[in-house]
Amino acid sequence: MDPRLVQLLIATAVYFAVVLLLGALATRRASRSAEEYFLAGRGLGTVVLFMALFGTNCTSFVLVGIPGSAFQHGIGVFGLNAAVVALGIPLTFWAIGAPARRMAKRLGALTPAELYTRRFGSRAVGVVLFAFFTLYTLPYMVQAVIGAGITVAQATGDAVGVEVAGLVVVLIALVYTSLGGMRATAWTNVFQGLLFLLFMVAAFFLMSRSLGGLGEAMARVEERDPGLLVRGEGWLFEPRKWASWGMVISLTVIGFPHMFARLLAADDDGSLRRVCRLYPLALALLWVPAVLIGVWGAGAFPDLGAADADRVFQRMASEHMPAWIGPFGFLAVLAAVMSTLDAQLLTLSSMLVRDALPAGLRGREVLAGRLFAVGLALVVYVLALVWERASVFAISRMAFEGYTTLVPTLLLGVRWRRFTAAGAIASPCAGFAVLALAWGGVALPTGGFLPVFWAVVAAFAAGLLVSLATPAQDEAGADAAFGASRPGSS
Amino acid sequence: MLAVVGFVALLALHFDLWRPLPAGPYFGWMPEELLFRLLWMGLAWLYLLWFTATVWREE
Repeated sequence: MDPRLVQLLIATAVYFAVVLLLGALATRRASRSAEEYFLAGRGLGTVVLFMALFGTNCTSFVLVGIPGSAFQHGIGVFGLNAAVVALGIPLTFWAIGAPARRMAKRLGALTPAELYTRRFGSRAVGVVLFAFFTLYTLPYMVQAVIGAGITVAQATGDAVGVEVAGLVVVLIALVYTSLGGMRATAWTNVFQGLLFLLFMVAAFFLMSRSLGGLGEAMARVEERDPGLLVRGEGWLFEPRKWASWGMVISLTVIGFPHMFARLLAADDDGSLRRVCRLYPLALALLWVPAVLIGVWGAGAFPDLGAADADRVFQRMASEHMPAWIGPFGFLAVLAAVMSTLDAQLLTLSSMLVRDALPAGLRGREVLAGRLFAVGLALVVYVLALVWERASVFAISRMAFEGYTTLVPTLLLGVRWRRFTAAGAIASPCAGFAVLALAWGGVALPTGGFLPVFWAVVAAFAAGLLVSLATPAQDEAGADAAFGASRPGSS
Repeated sequence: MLAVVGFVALLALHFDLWRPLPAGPYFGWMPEELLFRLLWMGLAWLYLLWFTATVWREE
């Protein structure tokens, strides 16, 4: 057997052993209660919370999709995505995450959908949110599996296909998530986050050295296409599209149900505030290498076509890093993918059990959650096989646009007492209607903005207008949700 | 109020529509676009440090 393949298999086996061990260690505590299983007992402190959020936030979109996108569109991809989220994500944690955490604790809610069900005293709100969360999360999970599959195929010289790689990734994530719930996924995220963060920093230095130094690496790119070293003019770089995408990429993360659920697991507001201070630093550490690897790849591999752009990261790892470290590039992608996949499996299964299934299942939430996770993993795997050739960035973009339309409901639900259940249902439906028209190919008058910009406007308008047109929630219900102090005071 | 002014100023810098044609590279390799974005992230981080210490109060 090829020694490189043996090395890869050993590294993978060690990695899987570690995550499974962490899952097993968390099992005893997870079985104590539903709150422990789904939210780690609401006790995640700063370090674990930060790594759980960051690990969950970063998936193959960053390690595969962004280098692929930078390979095609150049250095401008950094400003388009990374810089603006360094400000946007922490501010959404303050605007939505912090009041949501406090409200969930007050109401005893364990999932994002359950929080809004109890906030409004309306099961319909929870069911609608669950439906939209699932709709937008499925493609996001699929891109993660495709990203892992591409990486494995590239790393093994296509000896292991996307089908087998995707299956193994889904199965392992399923096992440790089912075993240990939120605590298992949080603990494994610390390990996974450190792995891909350290690898990316190492890759930055080792790859540039292999290319003859930073100056030489850039000179090669300039020689091929100087346009890759400046912000471009077409694509998403046009001012109104730039603004629309800045909004999407900043707001979408709080709309990820798997991120939202982790915010509910924070032990207090102080941990959340400290996480917000760390976020921009970690983003810079991860995104600078991710973008530059793609840009350098454009200079190093002029033969690589746009259709294979997503392969640039692994090709750079294989050809421009020492042989002994190559497997870590593969593991970095695997870690990024699995740290998101596990959280998605856990959050969607918890919402189905607690918010969408009949109340007769009460008392058996953990078992039902595990069974649903199995079914969900199967659907994701099948969809990954069907969409295998789609671009990671394109699939992610679809999911991000969808999540962004949920933000008005998430925000108004925790910040505006006058927001009603009818408004909370109308808002995501209006946003989806605009997106569905755009995705269906209907030419909307967008004024140069992306359709998602208008989808968010529609979602806000529907939420506000329908709430004002329908009776306000009774004072007792609103007091139970918001507590003694008025929302927006902190 | 200061928080809003700071936020709007950062957004305006993010759009950078007035920026002249790129110069550089800086430090022998860094494109001007990347340097500008990293400086912007630095400003955003300082803003967040201030924001989380003053505007975002403990409940």
